[in-house]
Amino acid sequence: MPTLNRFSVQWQQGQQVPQPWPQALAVAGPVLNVLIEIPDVLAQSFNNNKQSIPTPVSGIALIDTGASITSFDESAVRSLGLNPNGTALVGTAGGQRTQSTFAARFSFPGTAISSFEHPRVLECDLSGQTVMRSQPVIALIGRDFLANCVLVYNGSAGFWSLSL
Amino acid sequence: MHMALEKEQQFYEQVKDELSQCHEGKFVLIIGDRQLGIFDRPEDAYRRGIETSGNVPMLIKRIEKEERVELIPAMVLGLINAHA
Repeated sequence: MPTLNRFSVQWQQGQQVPQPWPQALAVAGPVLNVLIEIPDVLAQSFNNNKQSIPTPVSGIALIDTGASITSFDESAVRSLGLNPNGTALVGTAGGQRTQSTFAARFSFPGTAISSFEHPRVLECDLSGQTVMRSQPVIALIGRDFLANCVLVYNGSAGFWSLSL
Repeated sequence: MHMALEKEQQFYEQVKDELSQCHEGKFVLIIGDRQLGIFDRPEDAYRRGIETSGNVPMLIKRIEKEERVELIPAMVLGLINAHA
């Protein structure tokens, strides 16, 4: 089972080794690079019809244990040319509303965690959500994905790990 | 809701009670006003939809009497927005 370990550390003057930095983890949260692509079956269909495959979208994903469903920013969904494949009833600030869902493939570049094909991802507006030097958050990884994983969050030591 | 799925959603509402009698917990695939099958997994329904119709809007719905509400606290608090 491949495991991703992330440590929040900082170099302090006079120290030979980096020191744990729990505050940085508390501010940014468990974030990692994500690459979002169209599902394999759709890529196959595009290939068969000699259509070009949309360029994958990269950005930052935040692991959101409070979210029951994974969601991607609408700009990513739009740029991949995905069509909706379903709906979800979602609780919002204005009450419940029906939202479109999409199928997508996503991976975490630079990690050993294999890519994941998700049949039901929500589209939402994440514009303005940034972390770590203003990098845009384009995905909230919810408990539907985490249902396949082991997630360890050690806030006081400033590290977290994810195994899939 | 995505405008493109209004027809599919209306069709589902018409057949929902009948489907839930025999297929509760499974997934129905609807494109336009056509029901294209009942599946154990949403992945299988999506594959069938793409293979039969290509990259078009489709409704893959878990057949259940009461639909589960998805919660994203950031959305409930209004920190991020739902997309209509």
